[in-house]
Amino acid sequence: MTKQTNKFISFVMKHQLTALLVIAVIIAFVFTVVGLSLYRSSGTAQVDLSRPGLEGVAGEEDSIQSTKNFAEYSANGTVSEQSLSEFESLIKPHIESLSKLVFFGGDPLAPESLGLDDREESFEQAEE
Amino acid sequence: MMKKITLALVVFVAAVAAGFAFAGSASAQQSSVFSERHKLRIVESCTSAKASLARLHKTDTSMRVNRGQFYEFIGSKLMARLNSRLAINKIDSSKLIVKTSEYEQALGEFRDTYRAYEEQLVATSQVDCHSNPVEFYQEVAKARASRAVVQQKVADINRLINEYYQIFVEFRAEYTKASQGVRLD
Repeated sequence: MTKQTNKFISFVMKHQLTALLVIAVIIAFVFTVVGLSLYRSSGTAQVDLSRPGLEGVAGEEDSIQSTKNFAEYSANGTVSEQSLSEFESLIKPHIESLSKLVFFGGDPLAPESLGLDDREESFEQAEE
Repeated sequence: MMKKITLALVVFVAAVAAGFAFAGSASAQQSSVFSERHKLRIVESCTSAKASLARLHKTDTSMRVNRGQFYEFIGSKLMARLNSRLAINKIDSSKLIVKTSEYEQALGEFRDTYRAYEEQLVATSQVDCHSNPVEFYQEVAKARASRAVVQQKVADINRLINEYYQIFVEFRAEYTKASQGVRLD
């Protein structure tokens, strides 16, 4: 071992508690960075309703509909006419609901919708 | 040797300067596309536009959560379960499995595109539209394009669910036909 390594080891031995704290902080920092990057990259952030700016979304009436009450199909059992019609009865209402509702529809970010368009009449209206 | 190094340095500095000049002129050109009247209009509508963005963020987030849960449910609690049950009973369900795989892929793309859209929406909300009306307008346009992609992904997923169902209906008809044939024999 070199002289410098010996010096470093003796320094650490002298300040064991401080070294422990520093290592703990470094480990916590690394885990926080990894956790946050996973939180962002996995898409969890997009369904986290406790983020700033989204307060109240979870509490709004009918805003969040749970799928807990939806009936599930069993992966076990025999295949028969009955089991296939059971599957159909489970999936059909969902298929029908797809055509009834439009999601992410409309164009709320169009310049006209936000009042950012350059039309003369809209500008005059804004001036009035 | 020194001359070569000097020449290389001069070329490098000139290239960097040209790059900056090009970027600057492009930015100026983009900015000049907007008339003063249009910029004024953006600044005037800025506060209400930001409020609309905040509202849209909230409604789209709840829609994302609802749709995400719904699509996850369809994929894992219905499609995958049926595929698994057919496989356990050694019944060929390759068409259904392929469609489920396409569905899972589309669902992943939906998550990714929504993330990109949401990040763009947040970035747009953070632009100071009073001092940078042109930048704000351009960021709104980017968010609008991202939202259109999300809309397209939702349409793709809905189409795949319908296609899965059609394959299931065909499968069921074939199964009924085959089982009736077995009974007749």
